[in-house]
Amino acid sequence: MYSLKPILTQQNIDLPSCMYKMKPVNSNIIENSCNSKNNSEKSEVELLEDRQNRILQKLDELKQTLLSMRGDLNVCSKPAQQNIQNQQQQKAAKVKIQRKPIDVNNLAEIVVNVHPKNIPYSILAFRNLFKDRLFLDVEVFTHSSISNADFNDLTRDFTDKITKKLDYVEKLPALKVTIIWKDVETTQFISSPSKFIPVYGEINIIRYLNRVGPSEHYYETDHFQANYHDQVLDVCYQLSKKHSDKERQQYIQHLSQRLGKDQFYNSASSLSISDIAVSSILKKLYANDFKRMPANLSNWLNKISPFAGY
Amino acid sequence: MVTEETAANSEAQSKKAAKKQAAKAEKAAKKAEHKATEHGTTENQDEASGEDYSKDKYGHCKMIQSAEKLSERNFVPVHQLGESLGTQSSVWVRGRIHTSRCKGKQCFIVLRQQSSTVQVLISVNENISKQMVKFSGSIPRESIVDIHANIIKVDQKIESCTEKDLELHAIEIYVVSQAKAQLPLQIEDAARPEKKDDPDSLNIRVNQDTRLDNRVLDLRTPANQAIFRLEAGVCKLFRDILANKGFVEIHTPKIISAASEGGANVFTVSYFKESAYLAQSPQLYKQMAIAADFDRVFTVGAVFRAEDSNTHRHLTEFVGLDLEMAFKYHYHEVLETIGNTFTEMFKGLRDNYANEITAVGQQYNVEPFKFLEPPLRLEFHQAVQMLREAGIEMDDEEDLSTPNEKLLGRLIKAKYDTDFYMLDKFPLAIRPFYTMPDPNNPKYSNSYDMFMRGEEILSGAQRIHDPEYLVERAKHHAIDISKIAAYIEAFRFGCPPHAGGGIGMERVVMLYLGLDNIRKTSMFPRDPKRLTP
Repeated sequence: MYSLKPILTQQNIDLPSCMYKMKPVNSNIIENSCNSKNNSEKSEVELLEDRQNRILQKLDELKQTLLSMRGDLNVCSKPAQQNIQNQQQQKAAKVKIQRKPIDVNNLAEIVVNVHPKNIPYSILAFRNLFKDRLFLDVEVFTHSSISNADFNDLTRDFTDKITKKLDYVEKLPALKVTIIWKDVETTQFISSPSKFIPVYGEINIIRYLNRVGPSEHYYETDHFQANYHDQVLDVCYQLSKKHSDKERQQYIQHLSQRLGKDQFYNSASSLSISDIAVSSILKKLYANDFKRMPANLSNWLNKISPFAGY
Repeated sequence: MVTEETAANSEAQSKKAAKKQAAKAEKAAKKAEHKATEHGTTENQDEASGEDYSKDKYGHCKMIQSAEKLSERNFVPVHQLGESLGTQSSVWVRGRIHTSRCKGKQCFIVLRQQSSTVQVLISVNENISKQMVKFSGSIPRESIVDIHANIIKVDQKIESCTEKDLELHAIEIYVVSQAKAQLPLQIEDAARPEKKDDPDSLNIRVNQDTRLDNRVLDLRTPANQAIFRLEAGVCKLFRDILANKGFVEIHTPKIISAASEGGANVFTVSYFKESAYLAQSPQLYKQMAIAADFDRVFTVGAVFRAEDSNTHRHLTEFVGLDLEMAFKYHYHEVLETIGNTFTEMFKGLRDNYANEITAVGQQYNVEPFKFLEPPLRLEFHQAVQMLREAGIEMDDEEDLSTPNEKLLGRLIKAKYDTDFYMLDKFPLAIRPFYTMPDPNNPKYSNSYDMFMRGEEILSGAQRIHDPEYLVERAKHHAIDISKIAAYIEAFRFGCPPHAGGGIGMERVVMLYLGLDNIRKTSMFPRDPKRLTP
C-alpha cells in the first residue's frame, strides 16, 4: 500500500473535561506490530502461544466484567433459575395490574367476517378465558354469499359452542361480537365503518381482543413478553398464508420447537395469547386429525382444549 | 265577421301560408312515395322478376277466428329450439319480428319470443322466390309471424341472439298480426343497457313517460319481462312461505266507511247517497281476524294512499302484502317470523329466479342483493349511536329523516354487508297510538321497521289489544274516541296479544333488484300525475 504523509502535524487539542477518556483502541495492534519486528527470532509456535495467552487473558477480563455487572444488577448467577425469577417478576407485575377494571369505552361492537372453512377458534378461546371478567356476547349470521354446502359438522359445532350461554357470577361488561359466515378469502373484522378501516387476519383479531380484554391477560407488559408472543403470532400468520403441507412444515416445526415440553407457550402457568393463536390455527389445519402433527403439539393441544373451551 | 277576419289574416300571412302549404305538399308526396314502396313490394313483384313460384308459402294470414285448428303444426318455444336440434327436421315458431335486414337475395330476421331471440334466414332458392324474400323484409317490426323452418346448427356463435348455436332457415312465413309501421318507441332503444362507464355505447334512451304512455311496447323488453316475472315470484313466495308457517289468506274490503290510519291521505268515493273511502291499509281487518281466532293471517291486495308525493318510491295505488299474527308472550316471536319470511323469500328469489335477475342486470347495472341469515336486528338507539358516530346530530326520540335513513343503510352495509335489516324499539312518540309501549322504558315502544337497501319497506308493531289501555293511549294522542269506537269495540270480547306489519310489493321488488324508480316495478303505475294507461 502507499504510505501517506501524516495529515495532521503535531497539534495541541484541548480536550473537554466532560467526556470519558478511552484507552487507545489500537494499542494492541501497535504492540503486535512492534513485537513482530523484534521477535523475528522467536519460533512460530512461541508466537502462537503468545497470541493464545493474550486472548485467554482478555476472555478472563470479560468474564470478570460480566460477573461484576451481574452483581450490580442483582441477578442470580445460576442460569437455570433465571426463568423462574423472571416469571416471579412477571407474576409480581401481573398481581400489580390484575383486576384493573375493563375500559368499557373500548368495547365497541365488532363484526368478524369469516369463511366457514376458517373457523375462528380463537374467539371461542378468548370467550372462555375472559369468562370471569368480560362477556363476549357472540351472535352468528350467515351471509347470502355462502350456501349450505359450505357448512360442515365442525362449523355447526363451533356455532353451538360459541353461542352457548355461560354461567356468570355477576353482571360483567360485555363486548358484542358478530360473526358473519361470508365468502371472504381472509378473515377480517370491522369495528366502526365511519372511524376505522377493516382489519385483516385472525391474528390481528387475537391481538385486538387481547388489548381490549382484561388487563391481567395483556401480553405487552414488558419487551421480553411482547417480543416472544409477537414472534409466535407472526409465525401463525405466516402459517395461515401457506396453502400446501410442504410449505407449512417448517413453521409447524418452529412452533413445535418453541413449545418444547412445556405445558403452555412461554413456559407460562396458564393459557396465553400464543397458546390461543397456535391452537386456533392448528385446529383449523388438522381438524380432528391431531395425529398428523408433531407429538408434543398434539399433546399440548389436547391438554389445553378444556381451558380454551374447544 | 269571423270569416272576414280570417281572410284578412290569411292575406297578411300569405307568404308564410304558401310556404307552409308547400311543405305540406312535399310531406304528402313523400308519404305517398313511402306508401308506394311499402305496398309496392307485393304489388310490383310480378313485374320485378317474373313468376312467383312460392306464392303459397308466405303472405298475410286471414284474421284468426278459430276457423281451423291446424293441429298438425308442431310449435316449439324459442328457448327449447336447442333441444329440438337434430331430433326434428322442421318446426313451427310463432314470434315477433325483433329486427329484419334485407340484403339482395337474403333476408335476416331476429325473431323474438318473450325474452328469447333466434335468427331466421330467408334466402332465395328453388323453393323460395325473390318475392318471398322481399315480403319477409318488408314486414314491420313487432308484427307477429308464424314461421315454418328448419333448425340449422351454426359454427360461429350468433352473439346478438339468446339462441347462439342455431338459426332457422324459413320454409314458410305468415303474418298473424301486423304492427304499425311507425312505433312510438323502439324496443331496441328501450332495452339498451344503462352502462354509464362505457363511452362507446349508444346513448339513445327512452324516457320514463314515453315508456309508461306506451307501456304495452315497453313491457316487451327482456328486462321488463323479467321484472314482472320476478314480481309474480315475490307474491308466490310470500303466499307459499306464510301458508307453510300456518297463516291463512284473508281478503279485506277496499271500500270503507272511515279512514283506517290517521285520517288524512284517503281517497273519497261517492257511495250511493253518502261518501266512502278507499282503504289505506287492511290493518283493522287483519286485527279483527286475529280477534276472531284466525291466529295467523295475511292478505294480498290493493292499497290506496292519497299522498301528493311525486317521488321515486311513492304510488297512489299499490299492492300491499300484509300479515298479522297472535303470539304467546313476546312480540319478537312475530318479528322472527317476519324476518324469516324475508330470508326465505330472498333465498327463493336467489335460487329460483336467477335468470330473471341476470336479465334485469343486463339492462340496469345493479349490485346483487345481499342478506344475512338470521336477519340482522338492531335497536333504534344503536342506530342513533351509529349515526352520531358518523357525525349526525339527532335527538334520542327523533324519527329518521330520509337522508339519515339512507346514511344508516350505508353504514350498516359497510359494517355488516347486508341490504336487509330490522330496526327494533322505535321511540313511542313517533308511532301511532295503537302501538304497545316498551315495558322497561316508557320512551320506547314495541315497534319495528324493516329496511332494504337503506329504504323502509315495512313498518309494524305489537298492537294494544286491551280496550281500556287503547282508550287511554288514544286520549293521550288527543284522538276523538267516537271516531275509532269500532276499532276499540273489536277488542272488547277478548283478543290475544298480536303484532304484524305490511309491505309494498312494488317497493320490495324495486329494492330487491336495486332499481331507481318504483314505476319500473308497477305494471300500470298510478301516481298523482298518472291515471292512464
